Amino acid sequence: MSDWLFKSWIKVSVVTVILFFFYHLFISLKLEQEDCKNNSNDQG
Amino acid sequence: MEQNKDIADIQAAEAVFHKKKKFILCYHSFSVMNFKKARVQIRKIAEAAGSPISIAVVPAFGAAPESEAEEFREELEKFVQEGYEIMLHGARHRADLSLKRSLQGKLALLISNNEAEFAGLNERLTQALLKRSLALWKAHGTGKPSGFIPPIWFGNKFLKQQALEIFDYYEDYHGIYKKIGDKIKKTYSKTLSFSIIPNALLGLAQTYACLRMLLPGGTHRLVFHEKDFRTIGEKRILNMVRYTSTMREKIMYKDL
Repeated sequence: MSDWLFKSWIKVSVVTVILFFFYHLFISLKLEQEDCKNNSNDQG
Repeated sequence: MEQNKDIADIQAAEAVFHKKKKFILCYHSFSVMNFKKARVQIRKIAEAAGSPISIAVVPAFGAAPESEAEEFREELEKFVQEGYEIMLHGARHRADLSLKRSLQGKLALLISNNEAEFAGLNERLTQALLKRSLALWKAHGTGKPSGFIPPIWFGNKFLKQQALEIFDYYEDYHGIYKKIGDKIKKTYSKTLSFSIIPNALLGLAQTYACLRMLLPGGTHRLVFHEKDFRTIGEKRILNMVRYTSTMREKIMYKDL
């Protein structure tokens, strides 16, 4: 049981780190744009 | 044509979903010492957000000449008239090291580079400092602030109760508090601030802030200081505000 729990925790942690890394890349690009427009304002 | 209508409907539904989530945008430590730079920064942030924001004001004059103090008062008055929300942010912000503090308070001063003005003070000193803060504010003559924000969000066990006797709102790291009758209502809210984060970690802190805003839950506070314009940069700050505004509806403390 504890072995299963530990492996699951490792898997969840690895997936979280990978997702965070990709989100970090995405956000870095977004924040570096010349003018990141507000979509809701564009919609009026 | 029909497809365009579907896309518009989906976009409208997404916009409604996003706007159910709310956030507070606050500029911290607006004072007589920095108001000339800060007023420009505040207006740029408000323009990116699309409406006036909340401003946490440090009311102490320090050694500023009277002409500067007068200009500062006029600027505050202008902000109030334009619909900006004013919060009181300590008395001097910087801690008086001669005051007696608990061990926890001394640790807070160590972490905050002596900026946690209220950390670890006893009941009497807390009351006196809070009254001093309010007296300094009244010297500016611009009405009553909506709430009280302790510098670096470090308070003590007496401050919340005492602040809520005077102001409508009080906040710490984990939430915003409002007094309703005899009870205190807590709104879960994380502080997303960058001023005391080492430069090497600022990129990750910005990603974390955007992620917190993307995920549901809480009425988080996105906080900027004058220093952030030097460390993070104006373009990134304004883009962060625009990005967050697409995901959450910006509100003020008084809308809670």
